[in-house]
Amino acid sequence: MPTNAEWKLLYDDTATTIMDLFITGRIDSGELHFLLNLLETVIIKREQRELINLLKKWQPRADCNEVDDIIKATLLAVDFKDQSNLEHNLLILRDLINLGE
Amino acid sequence: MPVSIRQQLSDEMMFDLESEKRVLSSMLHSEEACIEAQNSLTTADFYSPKHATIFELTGILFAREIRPTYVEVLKEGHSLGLLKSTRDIEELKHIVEHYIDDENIKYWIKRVRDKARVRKFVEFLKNSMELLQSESDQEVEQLLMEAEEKLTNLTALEIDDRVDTPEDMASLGYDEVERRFLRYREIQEVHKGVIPLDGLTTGFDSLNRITLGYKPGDLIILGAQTGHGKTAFALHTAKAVAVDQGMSMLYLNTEMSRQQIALRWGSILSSIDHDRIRIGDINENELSIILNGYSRLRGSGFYSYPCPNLTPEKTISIARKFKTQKKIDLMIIDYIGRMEKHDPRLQEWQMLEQIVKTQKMLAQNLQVAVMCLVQLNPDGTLQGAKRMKNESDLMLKLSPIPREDLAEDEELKKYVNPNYYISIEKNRDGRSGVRIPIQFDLQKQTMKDAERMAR
Repeated sequence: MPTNAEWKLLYDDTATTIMDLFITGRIDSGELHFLLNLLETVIIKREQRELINLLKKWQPRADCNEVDDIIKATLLAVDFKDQSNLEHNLLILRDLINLGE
Repeated sequence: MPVSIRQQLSDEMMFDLESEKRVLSSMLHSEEACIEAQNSLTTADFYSPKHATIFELTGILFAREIRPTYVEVLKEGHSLGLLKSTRDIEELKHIVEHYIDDENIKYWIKRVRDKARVRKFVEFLKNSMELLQSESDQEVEQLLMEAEEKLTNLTALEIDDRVDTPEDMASLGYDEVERRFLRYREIQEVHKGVIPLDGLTTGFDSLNRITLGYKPGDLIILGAQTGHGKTAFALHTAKAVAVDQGMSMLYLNTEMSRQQIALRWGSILSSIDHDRIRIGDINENELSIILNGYSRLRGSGFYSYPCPNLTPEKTISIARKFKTQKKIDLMIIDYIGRMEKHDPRLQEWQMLEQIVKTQKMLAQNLQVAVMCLVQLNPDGTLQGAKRMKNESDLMLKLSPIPREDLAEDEELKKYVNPNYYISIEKNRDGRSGVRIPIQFDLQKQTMKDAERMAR
């Protein structure tokens, strides 16, 4: 298990990297907010293990860009403060990500 | 070309970036530090514009009850267009990573404030010098008088103090009299003789009439013997203010658990015996009545903070937080005798006196009414009563009406089943030495004015 100091370092560095990606124009505003919210949820609140496990399973496919686009759009629509929205989108993501298995 | 005042002073004298960073870093890591800094500093106290921006962002988040973490500050900064460059982010990251220290937050805040004061003083000197240079034929006396006034204002504002000139006092006096004159006329014409309150309702018509309500800045002390209704009085007040009128208030309880407080509300809001609710001896109809009562609590402004280790310092930081975030108008401390003693050498009464003084200052600074509940001795007296009385604006005692009074007092016989007195021991704004008969239903935990018998 990482120590608290290691968690903190990971959190600080990841947040800075995400912000850098935005400032240098490599991600847009929606992507910025999703990634920062995800970071806060996972490291500070220690929640959403299922979402993380799903994302680990998600491998972009060469043959079916459309599914990846839908997965990404679904992720960007996740409202981390709204439990029902979160559960609803998790169901969709589970189906979409499992499609490729 | 003369050397300017600023040029003669070292940077070290004018600002302290290290202290600014430490304050900001503490705010990003500790809520206590955040409360302390938000209440002691303003954006203008920061020399570095970037630091001022970060302080502003944490303040915005704190007021919205969002913990100002690194990510939240980044998000807020982005949405307001305040963190635009990689340098801004690097600066923020540097602060977040390298200056974690909240134990000495007061020291670092003082450093930041002191430097800000020095800068204001330098500004004053610079302006005075410019004035001196620009007016070759000036009236020296006038010039000195103006400078003195500016300097006095600078110091007076910094110590958060104010001197009323004769003009100020006369205007204030006239405004107050005029306000009362208009209100009296309104009472006669619009309210048909019913006096509107100056502050929050007390929950008792008779007490409202005498006190005109609990006003911002008031310290109210309510004393009762153990088991004689302190908490019931507090929750009766809470119901009147937060449930019936929807105002925001904070209730600090040092001895009851969350469950105990929640159960008491069930009884107060449903008028069903507390013991029956406690053991679950209720029927379905009563359950539905209780549920209905809780839905009123759900929409109310009642915030509860059970805190067995409450200290005077903690009340200050909690009150500041709730004033900023929930805009509270009233804080009730139930009860101050159970607060933690910091200095074991202090006698009980000295400790109580210290707490009461702190609460009075808090009430005035935050402009909220603060009610402190205290425990009376078995003989009905209060330790340190004289000193507490001095500090308070309203001092009340709650006590059972003696049987002989009920049997012999002709005035009491005009009321329907009174069983308790609220005695007004001190009232800064009106009559004192008055005893108000009330009905206290111990089982239902409810209180109300004792009604007068129909003639």
